[in-house]
Amino acid sequence: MGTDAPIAAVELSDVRFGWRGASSPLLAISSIRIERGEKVFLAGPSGSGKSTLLGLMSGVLLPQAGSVRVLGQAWESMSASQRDRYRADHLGVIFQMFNLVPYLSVLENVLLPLKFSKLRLGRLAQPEREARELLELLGIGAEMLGRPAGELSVGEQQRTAAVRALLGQPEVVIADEPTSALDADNRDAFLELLLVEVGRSGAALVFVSHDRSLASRFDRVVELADLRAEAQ
Amino acid sequence: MMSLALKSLWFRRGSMALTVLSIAISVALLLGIERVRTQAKENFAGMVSGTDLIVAARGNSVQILLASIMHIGYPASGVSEGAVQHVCSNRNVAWCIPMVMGDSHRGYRVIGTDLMMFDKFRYARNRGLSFREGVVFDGTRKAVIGAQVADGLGYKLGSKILVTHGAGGESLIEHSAAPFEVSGILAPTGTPVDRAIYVSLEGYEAMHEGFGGHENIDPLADADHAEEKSVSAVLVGLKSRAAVLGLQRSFGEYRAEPLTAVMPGDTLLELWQLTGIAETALVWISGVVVVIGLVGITTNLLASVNERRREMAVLRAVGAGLPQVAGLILGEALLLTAMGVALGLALFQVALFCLAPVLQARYGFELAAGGILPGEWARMGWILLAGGLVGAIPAYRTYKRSLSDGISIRI
Repeated sequence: MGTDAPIAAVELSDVRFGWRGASSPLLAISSIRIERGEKVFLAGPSGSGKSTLLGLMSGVLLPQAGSVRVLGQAWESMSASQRDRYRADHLGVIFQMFNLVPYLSVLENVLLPLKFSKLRLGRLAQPEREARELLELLGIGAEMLGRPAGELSVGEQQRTAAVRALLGQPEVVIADEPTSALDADNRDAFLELLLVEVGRSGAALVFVSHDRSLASRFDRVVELADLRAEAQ
Repeated sequence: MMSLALKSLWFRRGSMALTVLSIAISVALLLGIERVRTQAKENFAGMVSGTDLIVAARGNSVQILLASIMHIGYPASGVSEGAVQHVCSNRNVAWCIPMVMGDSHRGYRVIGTDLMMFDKFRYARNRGLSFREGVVFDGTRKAVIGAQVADGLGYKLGSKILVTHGAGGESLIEHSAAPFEVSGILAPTGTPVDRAIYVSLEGYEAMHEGFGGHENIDPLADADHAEEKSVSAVLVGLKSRAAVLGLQRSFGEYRAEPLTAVMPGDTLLELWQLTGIAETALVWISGVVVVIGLVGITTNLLASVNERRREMAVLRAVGAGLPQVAGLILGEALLLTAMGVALGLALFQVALFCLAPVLQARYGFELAAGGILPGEWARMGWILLAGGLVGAIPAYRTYKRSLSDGISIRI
């Protein structure tokens, strides 16, 4: 790796990870590099270790060997509380479903990361107004903001989660099968909005899905199977 | 994190309300038992506060105290007129109140005494007796009755009282020849005085003289009234409390007959030692009730650990650390306990507010309604601490769960 190369958004090198007690590593990845602002489609069948990979990327799991870096900082070089802070500052995460804390309102859910990240809070002059604007852009009207998150439709929940992941411009957005719980119309609309807003914020997007029909909308497709084959 | 915990609890308020209620009831019970326990001691201490010594025939000091002040039981035997003179004429004695007892009227104790009783008897930090109606007895056929006697039996000034021999109910032998007329009704005192009927020593004696003809069928007569002009006990007030120890010994060493002089405060302590086991049992029982409430909180939170895995993953994803996720659960346990304690305190205060006047009126028992005693603050503090300790169990489980779950859970 050349020292003059720009800092990658996410970079994995020679990573090996296995759950304790397993004889062979679940994941063995020689290299993944995702540039800043790059939109990457990470494809792989279920059971291929996608969620483990996302756990490694977001610093919740640490590799047994190798290094996982976000914006040049290796997760394994940080303490647990530093990792939590770093994750809040630089990562936005969207899950397949149940993204929202059920007892908080839509607006409270969206503002939640700002409680943990002063950095992201500092980027917003008027956090609540900007959250409302972004929600409006993704089709969550003002009348929904005070409602408990559990009352939203799945599509609305996913869009709310997207707003939360984007608010305060984290550099990396990780989306774990965010469209798989949506019907076709909702899925396309959601993907469109997500790509536009990620583009606007300048974040790198790691989009994990088994639905290859979506892959054409991304800058690059990475096959998880290929990565693992490389290592073996 | 605390506001998050509050919102989370509010979201699950249905099941949480029951948990809070169980804590509240146990807290109210604990505080209630403690209040009754401490106030009982306060009340008894108040009853004896004005009396420096009680002199009676030699016997058990607790028995003498119970009989002469609490009106429970009777002294073993009497004190002769000469001994009463000996005690009352001591130069350190400010006042002395002779009392003779052994008879009752419809369950209320009849006590023969002299006018000193209404002048010098002190209770509850230096309060004297006062009359609600009427005046002191001025002859052998008159009686002064306590407030509860008047209220309980519906007696007014001028009512006639027939005295029964012994402490029991209706069936015992009546001194039918000797009716008394109510000349005065005392104001409520919150002490056993309220449940007593006072007559003059001469009237009490006359009643038994009149009864003399039936002596052969009265099995108690010899034991109680064998000695002429004997009293059951003498309450003594001193000019200076400094003399109390010396006088206690001096009266105890009276040559002419065996006497026991009791210091009421010290004897109360002896009494509390006797009742200590029962008190300890009560405190333990109420403590166990609190523990059951706390176990309820823990069970509730433990049961929710699994169903909240997804929520914890979301919190972790937006940047909450493991300590914060565990802290959320711990915070919920503490909040639940705190709400339970607060509600329990409120229940306790409401109960006091409602019950205190009733207890005061019917049993003369003062609960000191309103206000929280220092010991009660301490108890509530301990319960909160215990809530935090048991809350650590589900918090730890959440920590372990969240550690292995990370941020993504497949369902």
